Amino acid sequence: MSCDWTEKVSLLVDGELAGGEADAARSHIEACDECRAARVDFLLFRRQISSYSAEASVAARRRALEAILSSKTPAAQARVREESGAWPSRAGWRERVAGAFARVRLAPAAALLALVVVALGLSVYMTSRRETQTARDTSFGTPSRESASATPSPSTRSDAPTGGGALKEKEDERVAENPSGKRVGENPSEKRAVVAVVRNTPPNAPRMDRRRRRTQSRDATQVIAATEPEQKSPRVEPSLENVGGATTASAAMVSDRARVAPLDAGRHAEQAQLLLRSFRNARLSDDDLAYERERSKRLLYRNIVLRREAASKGEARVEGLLDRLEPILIDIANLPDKPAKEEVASIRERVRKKNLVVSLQAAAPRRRDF
Amino acid sequence: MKSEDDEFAELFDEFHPSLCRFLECLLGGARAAAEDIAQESFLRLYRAGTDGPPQAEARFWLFRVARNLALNELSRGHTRRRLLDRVVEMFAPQKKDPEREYEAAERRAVVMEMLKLLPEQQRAALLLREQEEMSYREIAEVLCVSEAKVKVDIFRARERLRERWGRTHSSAAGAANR
Repeated sequence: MSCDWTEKVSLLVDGELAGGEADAARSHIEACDECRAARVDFLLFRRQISSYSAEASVAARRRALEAILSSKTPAAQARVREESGAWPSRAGWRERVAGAFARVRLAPAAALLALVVVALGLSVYMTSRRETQTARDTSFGTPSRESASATPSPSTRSDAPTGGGALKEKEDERVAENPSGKRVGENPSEKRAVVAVVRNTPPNAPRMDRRRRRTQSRDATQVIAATEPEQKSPRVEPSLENVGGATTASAAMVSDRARVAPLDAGRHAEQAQLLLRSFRNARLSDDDLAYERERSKRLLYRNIVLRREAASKGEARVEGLLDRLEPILIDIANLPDKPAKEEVASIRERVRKKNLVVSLQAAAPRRRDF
Repeated sequence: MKSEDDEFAELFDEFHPSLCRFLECLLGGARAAAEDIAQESFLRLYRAGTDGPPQAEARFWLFRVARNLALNELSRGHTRRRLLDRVVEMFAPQKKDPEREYEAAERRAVVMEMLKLLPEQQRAALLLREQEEMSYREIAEVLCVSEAKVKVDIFRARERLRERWGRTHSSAAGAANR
């Protein structure tokens, strides 16, 4: 049977007894064999437990730190500022519109509608402008733009109509002209892009599910967009935090795609791994996975680009891994503000079954191979 | 003047090893899981930025978050973790001094056997006391309990260890001394 003072001994070895109490406990220990033995045991446990060494490798620690530091994106910073209310939001009209879309679940349809309206508007504007130009050319007898050009571009048609041509000829012109004044397909990079679009949808391709098709169509949007002249905006991280959902982001992608920072696949794997771990460990009550959603959206774009690059380089292993990762990123990005536990659990289960965290972990350090 | 990232890196270097050790002991030796959770805890601290705890409180904040994440981890996928750890161990690079490594592994195994006897609350409190040398007040802050509970938990943990290990070790030590 233990002595009643044993608890005091425990407090004494921890330095949690005040002066008088500590003296009394020490005096008791001198007289009590049981408490003396207890003190010896407590100190022995202390020595054993404190001698435990975890021995995490320095390299692993460096990698962990790098991964964390690289996670500080403008999007994350903006979110922290918004949440903390440190200073008022200065979101632009695009962000506000996207934010409004994000609040309602009609975001995909709304974004698509917006895109169609813009395309129609542009088409009508181009038609009317060309007709006006043609009418002016006809009325005043001035030469057409093509024939007026002092140094015609190689794409200028030698047989271009100088006015009042047939409708088909006008349409030909419209199709041929792009903002750079060249025909699509004449520039070698454009040719490659167009070929890539075609390759994205081979005629004998197996039937794909809806999510996959959505991804592919976004690919195609990006590739077509790549045929446009490069913007001179600074190359910074895309600010996607205000875009409603990954599948609704087509319009935003058109404007943001040129600003996607270059990133190697190894680093991408590291970041994706970090995201999946965060998603796996997050509590639903914490912050409703808002961070994970935003991060997924951002990684999704890179994933698409890197997957296509890997495919074009014939890197089947990398392509396969990114291909497995992509639907997960889409699903996380598309989670609602208050996701159901079952929904989250289902994604986590798929991550687990696909063994993605381990695969990404294995891929991340070996950047040269990856 | 140091940037925020430099300050964070210093904090990371200072507390990452001890946080990993605490988590590894808490999770029954699951090193990979411990490193994952430590990284996630630091990531949350980093994300919190100016909204996070003051620097003096960061250590307690980290241990509190890490422990909560570890509780989540404990509640699921034990088998999976153990398997993963075995795979990681299998592919780990060869150690420089096998004999010393063996001794260290033995010591770790003994500690782990001891800790497995304890319920999580007692284990966490004892680890913070013995490894991190936190006061009862600090432990109470990390574990979000009262100081009185910390006092009781640590005492019960020691008593429990004595029941199973103290006498065995004492008698073994006595035999060795004779």
